[in-house]
Amino acid sequence: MFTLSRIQFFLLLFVFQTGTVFLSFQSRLIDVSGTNSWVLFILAGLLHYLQLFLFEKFHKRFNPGPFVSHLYIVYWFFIIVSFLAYINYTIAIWLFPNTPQIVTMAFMVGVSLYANTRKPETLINLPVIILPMIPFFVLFLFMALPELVWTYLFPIDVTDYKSMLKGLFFVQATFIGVEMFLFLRKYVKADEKVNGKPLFIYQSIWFLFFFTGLIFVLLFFPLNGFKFVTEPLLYLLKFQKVTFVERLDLFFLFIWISWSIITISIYIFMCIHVRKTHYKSPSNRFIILFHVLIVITSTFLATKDRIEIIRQVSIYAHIVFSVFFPAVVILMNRRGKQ
Amino acid sequence: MVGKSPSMFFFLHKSVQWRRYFSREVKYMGSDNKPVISKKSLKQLFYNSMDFVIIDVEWPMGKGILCYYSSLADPTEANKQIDIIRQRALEKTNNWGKTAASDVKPYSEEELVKSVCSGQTVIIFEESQLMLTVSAPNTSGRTPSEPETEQVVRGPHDGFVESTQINLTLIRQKLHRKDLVVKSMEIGADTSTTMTYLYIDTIADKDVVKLFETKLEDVRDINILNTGEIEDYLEGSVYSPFPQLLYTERPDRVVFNLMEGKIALFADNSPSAMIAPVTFFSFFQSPDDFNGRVIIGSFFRLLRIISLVMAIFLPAFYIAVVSFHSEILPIELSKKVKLAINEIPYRPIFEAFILEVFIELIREASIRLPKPIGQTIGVVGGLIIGDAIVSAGLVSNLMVIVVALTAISSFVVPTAEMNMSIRILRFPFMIAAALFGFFGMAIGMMILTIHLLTLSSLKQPYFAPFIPLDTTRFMDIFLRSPYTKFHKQQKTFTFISKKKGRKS
Repeated sequence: MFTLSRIQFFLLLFVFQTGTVFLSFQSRLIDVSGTNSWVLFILAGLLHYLQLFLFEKFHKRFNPGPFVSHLYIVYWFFIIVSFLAYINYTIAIWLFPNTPQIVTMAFMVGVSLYANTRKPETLINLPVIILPMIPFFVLFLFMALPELVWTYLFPIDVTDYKSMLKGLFFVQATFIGVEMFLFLRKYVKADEKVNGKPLFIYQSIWFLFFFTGLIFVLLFFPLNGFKFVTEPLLYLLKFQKVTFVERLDLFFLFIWISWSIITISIYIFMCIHVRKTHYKSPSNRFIILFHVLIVITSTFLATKDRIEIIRQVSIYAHIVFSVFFPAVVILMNRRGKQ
Repeated sequence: MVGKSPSMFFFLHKSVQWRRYFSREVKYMGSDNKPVISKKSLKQLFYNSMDFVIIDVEWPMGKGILCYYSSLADPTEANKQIDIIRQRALEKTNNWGKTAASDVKPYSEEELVKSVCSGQTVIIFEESQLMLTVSAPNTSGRTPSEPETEQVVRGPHDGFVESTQINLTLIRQKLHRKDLVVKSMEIGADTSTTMTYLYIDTIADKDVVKLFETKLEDVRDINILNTGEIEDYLEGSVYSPFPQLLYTERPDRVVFNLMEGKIALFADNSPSAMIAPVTFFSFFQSPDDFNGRVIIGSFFRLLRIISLVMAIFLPAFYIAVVSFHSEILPIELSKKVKLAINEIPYRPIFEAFILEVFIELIREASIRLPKPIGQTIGVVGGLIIGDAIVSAGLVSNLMVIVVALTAISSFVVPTAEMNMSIRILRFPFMIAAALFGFFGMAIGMMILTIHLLTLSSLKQPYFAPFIPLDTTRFMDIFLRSPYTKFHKQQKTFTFISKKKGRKS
């Protein structure tokens, strides 16, 4: 068992929410909502805050049984393999076109295996590594400032309900991982306040992080370009001209790979930990098998078509697991208490 | 038995302590097998060693046998002490044998061996089965001078020596506190090495002190001669490349660490103090940071952190760029790099290995050789052979620059143990970069960080303040904050009341 400080808790949540999608969500959102996407994201921000607020209010009633917990483990397994497949597909395109994907996959999952066979304190502090990377990411992004075209923000057409609803669906990708709030909240030290100002600060950081990324790519590329640009942030950095280095995006890939490995490690940690709350502590053999299964499954999924399909499905799965299941578990616990 | 030595009883009967000795003595002598103490048996006990001196002496209450190691004891000083004690015995002073430099104990072979081996002069009274131990050790040794590996520009220039007593004096002179606790423990069934440890009682974490004492207690029977050997028993992870205990030969460094609630350990005949618990960043602090001005101290601290990054990653980065990502270089530079490496028959990883091994050879050779020759080796190796290797086309000019920069960066780290760890660490990173470029470096960096997060020093987190995350202390890793600013008193890794003064 472990305890979390407020900062550790929010940092974990931040990595859960950002690690899997921050590179790719902009493209699909802008593709369906066009210039409306930034207005839509403000709306999504409000929804996200509301969801966090409700989670904080009812977190004590969220006590899933073994069956629901295992459903969550399956869901996280799905998120892990879909994300890994996407990372490896991207790495294969950008860095290692000739290297078999299972090799790069095995190395990334190998790091997670090493971390997950250590003590829990190592895992819960792992997101700290990201902290020094964030200033570099922001700096790289702001180098594109002179090339942004501010008129790309307009026109806005909020009366186009269809595209707005579609956009609202795709923006849900940035909410993935929010259910971790309910699972981790009980480990936060009793004397540390989460509600109110801390929650608002977290929400603001989450919002600013995604919103900045969205605005930058929206202002950098013309609208019709997003059909062809799947990782707009990477392309944005590739086009940067700085004197000391020719390809800024390769440095960014270095940051992104580290970020992704941490995200995978803590997702796997949650799978192992949630299982541990219902059954005895899993042996190292189980942890190794779990990692091997992840490598095999994600290698199978790492093609362009399959990735597209599982990314679509992951948003539906997210809605079920971050809205439907929490609501059911909380309501059932309430009835049980009555 | 008492009846057999009435004169002895006459001198001692008033003292409570002596009565205790006597009661013990009676128990000891209860059997008829009274140990025979003769010059011959004593010589045999010490294996007829040439430096074992044994002389008959006259004493007011009868004959005695004086013995000592001439290599350890100072006979002139011992004679002076013995004269004083003999005078006390003649004057029938209470506890005549108990002075600042002597003691009287019941005779036992074990106690005799221990006393003689620790440099004491012993007089054995066969009749009473007692022995008088006189502490007059040979004090030959070097005087405290600045340690060669930890030189500073400003601040005290004294250093520890091989005598623990002198080392304790150096610390007490700097730290006038009554709560500075000094304790010792004899370790080793055969070696009897005295381990002396000290901490400030009101600051040090009680649990950490207890854990430290338990760990020492666990190795009580193991023959240990210096702090280097005991390090393996105190460390949490022996196979880690990172030292989990800080070695220093500087009294001021020990004092500063004691003030932060840490424990210092000295071993007999070792000029190094071992400090625990420590963090990874403790190894990058130098007393110069605290003696210099705020901006200068901060600048050099920042420089050391940069040097750490360079020492580990620079050769790996170069290999990754040349082998995988040459497109990141600006075109002008890219052309020059290609021109430089085109003529080299080996892959960059082999180039780097040749030069790194070469640098390590020069370093090792210059340490082992006498100083003047060591410097010559540096010049011959670094300049002449280095130039010849480039001319022969075995390595490129750029690789020489990279490896030289890396070597200089690694020497910036102010502690020798961390310096060596960093030098070793760059090899796996070079291999990772040669296999997968930046991706390999990212994987390596993650494994390294996870390893650092897992490490502990006396069960205290090694990678503090990153774990447990304490954002208020982040800046102290990179900068030296002014003494005038209020800060929390560090109590190992938890904090108590606010105070002014030095901040780690």
